[in-house]
Amino acid sequence: MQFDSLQSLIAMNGYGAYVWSSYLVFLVVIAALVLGTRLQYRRIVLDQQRLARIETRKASERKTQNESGS
Amino acid sequence: MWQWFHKLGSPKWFFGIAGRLIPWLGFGALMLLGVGIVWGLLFAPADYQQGDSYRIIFIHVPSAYLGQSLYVAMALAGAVGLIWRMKMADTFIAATAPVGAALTFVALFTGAVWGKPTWGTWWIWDARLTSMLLLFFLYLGVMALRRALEDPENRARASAILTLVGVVNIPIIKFSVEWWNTLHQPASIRMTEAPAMPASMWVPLLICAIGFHLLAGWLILMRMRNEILHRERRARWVRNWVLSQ
Repeated sequence: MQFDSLQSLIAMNGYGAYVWSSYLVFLVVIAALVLGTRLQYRRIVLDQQRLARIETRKASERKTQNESGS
Repeated sequence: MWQWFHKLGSPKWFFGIAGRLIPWLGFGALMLLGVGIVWGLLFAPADYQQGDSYRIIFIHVPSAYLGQSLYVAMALAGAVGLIWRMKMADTFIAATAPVGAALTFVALFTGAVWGKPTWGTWWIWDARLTSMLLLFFLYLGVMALRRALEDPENRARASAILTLVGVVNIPIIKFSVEWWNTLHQPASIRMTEAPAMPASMWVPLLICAIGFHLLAGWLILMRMRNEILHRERRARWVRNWVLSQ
């Protein structure tokens, strides 16, 4: 361990603002990327589920129409 | 070999394999980045010239390295896509561009923040920094181009060509620190020589670098799966899979 207290770890001998802001930006960018990827997945799956449901409903409506019409 | 190549071209096969790899990549990335970053921040010795500011290296170097290698990978995929009309190549480009852009941004940002205490300036228009900024814009260009073109075949061809044109920038980045007098120092670690830093510094850096590769692989595979679900939405197996979720 290079630092003997939490204060000295945060201060990094005067370089704290530089070091910690770098790691923070890295963390934020990666978190945004992961979140964006998860949202992209959810949107695709939900859209396709909705489309599939609309199609099955239309198909069943057509079926009942045909049956009542004949 | 050819059989493997054919399988790689099959979205359904790739989707399954990627699904099995993703948890391992995510877990490995988390472990290695955790160990590497804690080691680098808390346990690695301070640099005798730069003090503690050099601790930025543990994210700066891996993200800069990956920013470049992901672009080369995109250009290779672009060539494969143009020559063999392989659709999965375009899927890879679509998934990789945002990841490469994000890592290049991290490299630029951490570089600027590191430059201030060591060089006395956030930014300077020297060869290494400018060519790295160009890399960032090339990634954004690929993403914007993909968004602007609707026809999938046109989009695939145009982005493949752009990645191939832009790849000339990569050797410029790589050798900029040797060809021109720049503020940026040359590489401290090379494949062919012993590293110019003690093991207590390069071991955590290596762990971080491997962790970054797993992280990028994890993100790219997840995005490729999204892309496959969207592209193959009319295929029966995709429909069944989506409905099972």
